[in-house]
Amino acid sequence: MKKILMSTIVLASLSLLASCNGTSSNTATTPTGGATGNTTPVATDFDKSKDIKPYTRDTTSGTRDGFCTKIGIEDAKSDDTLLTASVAQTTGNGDMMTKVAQDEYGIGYSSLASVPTQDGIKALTVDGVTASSETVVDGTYSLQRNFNMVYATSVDSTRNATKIALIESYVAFASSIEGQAIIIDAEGGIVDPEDDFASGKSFSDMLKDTSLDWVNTLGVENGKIAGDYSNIQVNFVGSTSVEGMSTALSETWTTYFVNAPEAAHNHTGSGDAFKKLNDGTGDIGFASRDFNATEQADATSKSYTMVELCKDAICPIVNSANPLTNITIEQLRGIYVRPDAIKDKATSEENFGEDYSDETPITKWSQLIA
Amino acid sequence: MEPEQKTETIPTNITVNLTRQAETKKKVDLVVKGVFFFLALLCASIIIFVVVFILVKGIQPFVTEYHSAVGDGVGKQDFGSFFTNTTWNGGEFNHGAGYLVVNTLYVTVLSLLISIPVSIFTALLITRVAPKPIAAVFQTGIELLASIPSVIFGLFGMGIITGIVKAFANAVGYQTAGGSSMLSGVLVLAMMSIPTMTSMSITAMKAVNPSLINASLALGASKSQTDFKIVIKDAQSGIFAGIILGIGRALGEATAMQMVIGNATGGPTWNPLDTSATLTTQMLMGIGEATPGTMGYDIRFSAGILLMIVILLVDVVLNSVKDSIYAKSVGQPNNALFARLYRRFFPEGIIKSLKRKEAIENGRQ
Repeated sequence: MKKILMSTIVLASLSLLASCNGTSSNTATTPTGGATGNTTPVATDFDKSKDIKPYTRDTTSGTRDGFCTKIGIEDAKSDDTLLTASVAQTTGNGDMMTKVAQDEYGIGYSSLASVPTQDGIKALTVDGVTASSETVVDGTYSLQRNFNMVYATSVDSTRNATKIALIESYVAFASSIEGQAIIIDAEGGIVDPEDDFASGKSFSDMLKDTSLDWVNTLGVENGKIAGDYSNIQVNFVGSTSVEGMSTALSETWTTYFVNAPEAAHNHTGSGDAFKKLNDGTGDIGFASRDFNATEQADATSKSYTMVELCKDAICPIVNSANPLTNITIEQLRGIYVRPDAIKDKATSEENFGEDYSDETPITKWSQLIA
Repeated sequence: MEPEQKTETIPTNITVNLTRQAETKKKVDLVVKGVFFFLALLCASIIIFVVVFILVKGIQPFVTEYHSAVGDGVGKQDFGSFFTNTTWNGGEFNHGAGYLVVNTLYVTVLSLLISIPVSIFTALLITRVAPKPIAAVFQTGIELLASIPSVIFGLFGMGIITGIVKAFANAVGYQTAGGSSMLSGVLVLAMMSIPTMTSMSITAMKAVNPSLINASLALGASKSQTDFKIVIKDAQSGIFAGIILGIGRALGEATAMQMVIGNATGGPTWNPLDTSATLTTQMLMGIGEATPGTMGYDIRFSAGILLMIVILLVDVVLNSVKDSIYAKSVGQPNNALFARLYRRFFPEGIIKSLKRKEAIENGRQ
């Protein structure tokens, strides 16, 4: 009995090992390349008759907000019942790309800056336009969003003159040649060269310019801001999508101080940019979308300044094995929207403010690939 | 007379010393008792704080009006639709979690179908079948497995298990979301609960009285008959305790599950090859970007209440079952909660009298 059991166990474990081996070599040769990473994907046996598996970010994501708004289904940014039932949620940009890399028949969307970092996926052109700095700046690439910044400019109960000067120095740094380099090169932001915000001046030169109020208030010696600001906290709030960029900027900004203030980053979502500026817990707010009418009115009444920090492109992404290269906004809508939500004119207009009832839902790749 | 004489011979200073020592010991005991009491109180109050915090936060969405995080409106969560909605996020103020409870229990049951037989047979092999050195190696392996953090299981699941599930689904002609599916979640859960369940089963099986085993063998039962009919049967209460711990781990797992289960937006999901979501994965989804003070943040606490209730109920039921198994095995009357409740609501007396009444009426006819 013992011998029989032992030999069965050995056999079973051997066959298990063998099957493991088999699967891992399979994954290495399949075009997904998800598990192995650096395999060269080959578009060979793509089966057009398969279902499209759409992936989305969850409702808290700024990227989802931008994507849904730009494909004309704005309310779906916070309502999953408006998206097709087969959609799968992903936990972040990275997870989205991993999942699409693992699924030949998947489609997702991601920020342009992060697309080249992942093997096994490719970005689609939208209405025939490739996402790039040029096409985003000239507006021909439609799936784009703005990263905006709002900051307090006047002294009030929660911010004194020193705080305002510190805020202005940060904004000046972001607009300087050094700051723009961080936005563009390190963080993949897209900046319009004609944009008013980019000052075209070096921050070191700005520090020598005594005509600037904040330079006089803060006091500059030997090319550095000399006063002791280490007990002051500058609060950065708002969009989590812009967190990386604002943190990278503040890290370099603080190096221009002898005793730098504390840069406290507490990013909780675009909606909080104004909320926290109003209640005094935030000094500089960021949003990965355009400020709405209420917020703009708020800014005027409280003399906040709003600037567009940079632009970002959202790319539809598919698996490298997918032969598809281009997609239209209408097709994206056909893939993501729940057919029930646009079943007739009234429903569609109630949900999205537009009549999409004549558009066909897209569920199979054969509907997109000839 | 002799013992009295003895006590008299002890010098008074020693007796005083002894009394003093006894008093000091009493004091030390009192202090230690106090410290222990304080620590126990601290532990207990942590539980109370957590529960009260979750309750207070979780009730908010149903009773207070929330400002919209994306628009201008205000709203609150409807209590009934929180249980009946089949999509977690049906708009800012319209959530649903009832289907998530179904998903959670379903996933747990499926994972138990794998983990229970595997753990029991592994434990049996380690305690009864395998030669001692091999058994020791296996046992160390199982114990090591129990200490692996869940995120590692999640990574393994993402890298390997989803691939296997995908290949399996392709073989049976079903299209999965790149292998992310309920089945992947079930396999990861099973892997995570097997170590706990196996360790407990091993302890229980090792505690089986050897004379029972010897008696069985002496009566002519084969070794496997003894293993199944004596060892497993005698250890069943301990095995069941292991299963309860395993279920606890399965019900509460979030990270590893979220990495492999596919995170469907709605449900319930019945096909194991489809994407699904559980209470924990959905609570975790987007928590990093959710804004405190909004409905989307606080509603996670409401799901937390639901999860605590589910775990509590499952625990009560399972412990009751465990108690009845134990009572049955030692031949005592079953005093488990459910047995008592059953007796309270269906006392044998009533049933008997009803039957008697029926019999009398039948006799009359």
